[in-house]
Amino acid sequence: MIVTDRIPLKRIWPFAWKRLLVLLIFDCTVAVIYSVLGYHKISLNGLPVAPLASALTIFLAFRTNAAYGRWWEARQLWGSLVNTSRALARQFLTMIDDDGEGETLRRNLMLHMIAFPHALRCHLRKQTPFPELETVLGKEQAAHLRGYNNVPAALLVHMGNLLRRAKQLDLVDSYRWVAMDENMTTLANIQGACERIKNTPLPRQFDYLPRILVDVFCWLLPLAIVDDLGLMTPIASTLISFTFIAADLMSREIANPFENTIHDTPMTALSRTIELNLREQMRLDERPLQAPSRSLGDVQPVEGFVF
Amino acid sequence: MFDQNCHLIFATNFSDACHAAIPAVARWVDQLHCRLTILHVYDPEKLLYRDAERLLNSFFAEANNYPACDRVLISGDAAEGIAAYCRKQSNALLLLPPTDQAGLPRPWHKSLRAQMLKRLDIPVWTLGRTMVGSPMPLAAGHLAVLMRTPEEGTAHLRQAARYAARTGATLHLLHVLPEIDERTLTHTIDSGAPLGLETATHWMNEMAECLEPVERLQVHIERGSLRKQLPELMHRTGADLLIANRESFVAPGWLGPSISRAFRSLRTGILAIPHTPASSSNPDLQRAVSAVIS
Repeated sequence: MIVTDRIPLKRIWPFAWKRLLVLLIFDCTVAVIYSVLGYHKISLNGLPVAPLASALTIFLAFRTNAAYGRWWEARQLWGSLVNTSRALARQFLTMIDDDGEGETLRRNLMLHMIAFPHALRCHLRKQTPFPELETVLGKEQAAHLRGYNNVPAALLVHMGNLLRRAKQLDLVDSYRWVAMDENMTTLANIQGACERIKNTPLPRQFDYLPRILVDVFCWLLPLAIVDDLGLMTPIASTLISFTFIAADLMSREIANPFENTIHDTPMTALSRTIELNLREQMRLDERPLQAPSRSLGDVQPVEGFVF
Repeated sequence: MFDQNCHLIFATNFSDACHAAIPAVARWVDQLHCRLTILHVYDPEKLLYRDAERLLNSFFAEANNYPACDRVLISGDAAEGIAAYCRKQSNALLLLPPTDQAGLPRPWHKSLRAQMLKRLDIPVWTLGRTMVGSPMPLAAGHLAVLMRTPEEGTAHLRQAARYAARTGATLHLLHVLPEIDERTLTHTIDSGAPLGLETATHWMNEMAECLEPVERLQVHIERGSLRKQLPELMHRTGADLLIANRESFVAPGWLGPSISRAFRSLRTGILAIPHTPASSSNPDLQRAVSAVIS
């Protein structure tokens, strides 16, 4: 996620320069043919460029809105994950009795809860979660999870099993068990919604048509304005083309919030926040739990970007 | 190299390419179960120590949860700093992603990766090409190794076979025959590499037989320019990692060494292995290689 006020040109330039260079050459050619060679038939003065630009703007705005909708939904889902994790951790800490295996179960549930956001982040970014899981859950548990393709879903199943064990040992009653299970279902729903965003691209029509229309508009533009601007056509045409191409590119980039790019939902920072909060709850609870002490701090922006 | 004693050194300047490389670095750590050091060399005239430290601690933040990870901050020249640190480490693998491709020509650019490859006698992992904002493609289960000439030795081939055996990946042996033109006559002066398809096939198969047993092995031979054929071969094999000899990875340039153009357009990981003395290699493999040279 970008947190700096200024977006350097180098973010857009690598994707735009080829299109702009070709258009600049075309614009210069049109200007020379019209103004220097005097071939005036090349001008399409009657071309309704303004209505065309308006129509294109509507298309682009529509696509940008759809892309932003995906990006914002992803951020909301991770915000909801932070809240649900804290709520569920509080329930684990306060609703499970201490008798017998109680403390071990509470500790295991808390560690699984810490592991879940890390596993989900790695699942969405197609990154291996196991080095982290080995530290959080221990080598044995991590090795067991290697058998699963969907590690966060497997973690939820493990948590469900631990809760079932607590229920069998009468460490929780049915009401408390239902309350905790509801929050675990919320976690599963958050994961499902993230997977939906990840696996369902923006409809191709939304993506393809604006790009084609931007190209058509950029090619027609110099022919329509050369009559008025003459040799200045390349400057005006390239600047207008850049505006449309940049809008086209930026809206396309934010459409995929789980791709390990600067436009991502800041999942690393959020999963760290969850871990810090939960470890603090474990340590400061009335019945503090032993957890490996780790020197972790908040994730700060790196050169204006939070990952 | 591919064992738990290996020490991964991830040199970063916090570029997008470095961020894009994180999933690949995580996979290295997971596969090798080895120590990871995240190294940053900063310029003290441009950045304060505390700011550089803050950036370093927030980059690849999840690595703090890895079993053995440390962060090292050095001030000074990047090439000098990385080289000095790597020389002190044993059994190290340097992970060095490329700089971001801005799309603009860089006539005065000096390749840090090429400098490191020339200076250091350790394997270097890098990426061929990354575009800012583009995610890095990640596949699994296929590994390619490029054999260019018998003179380049077999160190990279042995390492590739060991890695494929360890991970259960399919090993693809790649060779590109030179085009037949007026330079063909002088080709044999420079190298003992085969010129014909049959000889090349025989050479590759002999080497394949002498390797550490791997689950699946395929040989791919094409004729043409390496720059054109290599991306096509990589695409066809589906490999996400190419292992090559260090010498074939670096080309001489008028401003100093640079990365060979054949590798620059690849979008996969590339592991450049330095040449080691023939005596340390597999004797059967060495016989297969020398048979072609003779």
